[in-house]
Amino acid sequence: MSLPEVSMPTAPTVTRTAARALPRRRAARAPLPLLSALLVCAAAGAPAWAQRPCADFSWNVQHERDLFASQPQALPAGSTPASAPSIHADRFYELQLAPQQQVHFVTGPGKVVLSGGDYAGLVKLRVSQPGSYRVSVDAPFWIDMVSDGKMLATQDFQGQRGCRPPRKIVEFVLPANQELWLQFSNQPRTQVHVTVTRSPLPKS
Amino acid sequence: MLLAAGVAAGLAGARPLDQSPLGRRAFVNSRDPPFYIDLSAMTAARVRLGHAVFNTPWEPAGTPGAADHDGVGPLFNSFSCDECHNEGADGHGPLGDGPAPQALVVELQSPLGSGATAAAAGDPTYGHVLNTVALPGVRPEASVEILYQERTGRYDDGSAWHLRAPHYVIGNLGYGPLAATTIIEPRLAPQLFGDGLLEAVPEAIITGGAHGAGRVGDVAGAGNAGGASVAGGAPAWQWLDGRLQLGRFGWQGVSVSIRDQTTKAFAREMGVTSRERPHDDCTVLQRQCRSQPNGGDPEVSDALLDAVVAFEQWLAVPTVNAATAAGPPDPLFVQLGCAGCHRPRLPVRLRDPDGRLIVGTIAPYTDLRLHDLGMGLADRDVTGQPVVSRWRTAPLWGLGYRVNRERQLTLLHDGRARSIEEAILWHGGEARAARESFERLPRARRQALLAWLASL
Ligand code: HEC
Ligand code: HEC
Repeated sequence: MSLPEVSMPTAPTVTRTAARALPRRRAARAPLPLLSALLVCAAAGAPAWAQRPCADFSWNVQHERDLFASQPQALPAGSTPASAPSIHADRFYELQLAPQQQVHFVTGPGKVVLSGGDYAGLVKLRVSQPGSYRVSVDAPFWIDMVSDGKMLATQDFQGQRGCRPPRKIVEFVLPANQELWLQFSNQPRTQVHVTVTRSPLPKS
Repeated sequence: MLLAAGVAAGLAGARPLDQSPLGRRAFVNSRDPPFYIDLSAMTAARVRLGHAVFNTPWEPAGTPGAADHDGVGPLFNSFSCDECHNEGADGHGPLGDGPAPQALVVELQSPLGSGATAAAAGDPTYGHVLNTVALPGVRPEASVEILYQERTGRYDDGSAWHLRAPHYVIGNLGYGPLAATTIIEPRLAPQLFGDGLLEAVPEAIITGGAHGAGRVGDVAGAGNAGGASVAGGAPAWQWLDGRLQLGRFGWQGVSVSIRDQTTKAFAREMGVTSRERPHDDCTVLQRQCRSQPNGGDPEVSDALLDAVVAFEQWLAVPTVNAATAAGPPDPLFVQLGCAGCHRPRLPVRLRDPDGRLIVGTIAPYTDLRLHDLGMGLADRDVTGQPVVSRWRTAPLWGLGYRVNRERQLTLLHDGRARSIEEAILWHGGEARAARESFERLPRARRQALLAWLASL
């Protein structure tokens, strides 16, 4: 009833190959001889790194990527809760931000950082269906979702770098038909590209 | 409590064990992790600065307005400490097949050239860490993908268990092949909670010192409690600054102090240089990387480095159940031999920021020594050959917080274990007897032990 101490085919192994060229299912079940054969495969030719889409999200982000490929609607973000414009789900925005020292948040931001030179801004949001939503952005802004004066806990997040946006995605569970504030902060960039989308239903 | 007090009676000079162990606090807001001592206003300000440094996404060299936090990359894994150690907690591990998550870092090591008198070397081309991200104009080093293979087996009582064995696919190598002898070391970012107290365990307690290896057992109390004691393992000696020093941090005790690990993380995972580590992880063979502008020399100032180390130093360990956190180990944990490595108590000696001496005990459930847990957990070289690997006994304090907080528990050095139960079932080598005893337990007792661990 004990684990085999040395059991090569199932113990972790390492191969050197072009990851994406590997037929995943087959490799997972491959017996050791095939894995060893893969060792000698050379890496594929150098990809165009800069233009590479962020392929390494472990979520399906096709919808977000499609939106990011469309023409954004430009809007100045608010620098106070009162001046925050409304945005809507399933649209693509380019928000102009203000120097962070001049921005009055509803609360927070939830993350303290060294912020010299950072920009920030707020928008309002309301969704008609309750549930899990993704906020996707093109740079590692800190994102707070505020409802009723309190920050909502993030359900999950993913980030990717050195590739085409979206680069950071944060999931929140949102209540329906309530005023929500979305706060962006802590980045030395004067604008942020953003989408809010419904998370796909989990596969069962 | 009885057990702890009984053990304490035999100890001269140490704080009695029936006093609450140091280091635990309830975490009310995970974004504002508490400290295990009360900090003076001055220290609190420094620690707040350190927290900000920890959270800050570092910027590329020359970013306007970011003079004190620029210089990330050109090759790196993350822009901030916080991306891997969210507010001091452990990183998100792999959920299933697919790209390795950011907090799962592949470290590289060349087999030591001259054994005990050389610092660990990285791969000749890729250095110490496989950097999966790069600034524009520089090629990242590689991509890492994980494929799991399910394994199943049965307990002696007939109920089934499941494990997943990882297989790492390193692709898109940007700078030619890895050296054939390079060891691939996948490592998940561990929690930082309580590290300041692990640093304060007297060296002789860990090494056995003048009193021999049994000393750890005496202090820990496990031996006296009648359980099978797995004495053994070895201190994690590291070659640093021309001498052997005791390693305490990282899954294999590769770093001798919080500061040592912090400067390594800045240099290797973020590409940020410090006075102590003036080079990042670009090797001489990576010319593109070497020719990029830097963000100052060094890129992280002494003041900011001191502040982030102070922040790490005082971080408390989260309590979910005060009775378990302060109480004696579950008797079964001792009987099975778990406590032989996962020592329930260790003494500490440290100074608070005002220089006052603190002498006490902690309940970290580690001996801070290295153990061979068998080939199932061993690292492999580039050709897939396993290499004997020794692991620091993972501290179990704070396990309850992880159980409560994480969407998916990912335990062990590469996050392969999806539950406490799976983590135990991976124990082999020196811990084989303990695992086999666990497998022989009737279901109800197994569950009771797991429940205790989940409240730790
Ligand atoms: C890309 C992910 C990543 C980043 C970024 C990162 N770390 Fe880590 N950290 C790790 C991993 C992986 C380990 C385990 C290393 C090992 O076992 O060799 C670790 C270990 C540590 C440890 C030792 C913990 C213990 O108890 O063993 C400390 C302390 C630490 N990191 C601090 C930091 C600080 C401070 C920063 C920012 C300057 C940082 N780390 C940035 C991944 C990361
Ligand atoms: C010979 C020493 C030894 C013994 C005996 C031992 N362990 Fe461990 N334990 C370790 C080491 C070393 C690790 C880290 C291994 C790794 O990450 O690959 C570990 C890891 C763990 C972890 C995962 C912790 C984490 O943060 O990932 C748990 C849970 C655990 N042990 C529980 C137990 C229990 C319960 C027993 C008794 C049935 C036991 N251990 C016996 C040395 C030991």
